Amino acid sequence: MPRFVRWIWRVLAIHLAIGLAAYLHFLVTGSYRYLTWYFLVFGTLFFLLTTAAEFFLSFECRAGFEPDEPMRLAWTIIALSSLARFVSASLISLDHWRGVPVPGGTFPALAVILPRGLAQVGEVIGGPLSMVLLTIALSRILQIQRNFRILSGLTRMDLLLIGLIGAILFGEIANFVRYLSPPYDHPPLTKWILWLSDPLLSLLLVQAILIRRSVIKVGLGLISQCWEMYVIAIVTTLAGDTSIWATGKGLLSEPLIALSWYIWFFSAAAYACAPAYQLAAMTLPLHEVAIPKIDGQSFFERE
Amino acid sequence: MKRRRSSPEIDGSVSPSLVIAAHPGEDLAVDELSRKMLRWGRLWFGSSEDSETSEVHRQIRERLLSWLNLCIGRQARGVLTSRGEDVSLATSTPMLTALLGRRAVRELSRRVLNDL
Repeated sequence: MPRFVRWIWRVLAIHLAIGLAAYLHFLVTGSYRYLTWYFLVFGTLFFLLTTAAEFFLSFECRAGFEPDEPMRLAWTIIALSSLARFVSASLISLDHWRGVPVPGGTFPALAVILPRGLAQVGEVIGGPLSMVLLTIALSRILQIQRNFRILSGLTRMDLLLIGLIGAILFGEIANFVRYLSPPYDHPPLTKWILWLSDPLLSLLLVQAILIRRSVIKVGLGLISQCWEMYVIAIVTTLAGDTSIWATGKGLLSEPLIALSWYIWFFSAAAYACAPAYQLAAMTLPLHEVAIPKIDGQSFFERE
Repeated sequence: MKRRRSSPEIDGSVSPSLVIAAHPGEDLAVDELSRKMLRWGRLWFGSSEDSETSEVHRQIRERLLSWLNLCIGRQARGVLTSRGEDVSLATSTPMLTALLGRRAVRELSRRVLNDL
């Protein structure tokens, strides 16, 4: 496992262990006190750390390609997408802290400095904007995979899933049209943009299915694990979105609602791991490592 | 004494005639160069004619396969061989370059050809 990936999973494991303690406290006492602090302090720090790592690693991947190489553009767009997620995490965390009083006083100091609506702007940047960028980047990667015949044919199950996603997408578009016409009020711009999250996530899911097929075709390697991480990130984002929808519809109990918040940590970790795998594949030949082994024997052992 | 030789592959009627001024002993150098280029060509495309080169090709092939397994995926070989081509530097370099970048593949090729 590459060094960066190992670090990301270690940080996630420690973070979840603390989170588990907070969750158990909530289950036993019913108090949100520690759970709120956990998400406010550790959760915020985790998102800032993983999104910053994701941006740094994607930027490094981009730098590994020369300007005329097709993957350079793909990684430039991925780096922009991760930058959008980092900016979003920063804005949302600032908005969270606006309401926290300064120690020794009761007045929240940040509330004076920061404008209102930071969280919503953050949601737009980290949601639809980063998704659009990721969709474009993954399209480019799929195109490159197709050129090298890595992109495998779809199974009936894949086609069924894509059909289902298409039907949901059609339903979403019908809903938009309905909400944009009378008797409904004209929604604010940020809300209108946020509505695009679900259709964009549907597109990402279709791309994830295609990428998953190519991963199966080439088998487990560093590059295919990078693609696999994007699939995991997209699927966990969908799971997180579904839990928000289910919470809104009142389908989840209180303990399950709190548990569903943890999904986003897995998504953030997977997004950060993807460029880490790509970077590991790109830097492996540059480092003084032993020539990889075949059937458990190195070339030197064979000779 | 100077001799003049023209390249037999180039048609003088369609392109300016390529005339190489050859000094005594240059023939040997040209022969050596063409022999080396032929050898590198065979290494690149993975074609072998004698037992010595086939052993080198086997080593190159195995090294390439292990890099493909490690960097791309364990069935990456199948993607290359599905086109009816065997794994060689010529067949694997385009895919590796596209996915890893030119810089990484340059170093990878150096490692594949190391000690051969």
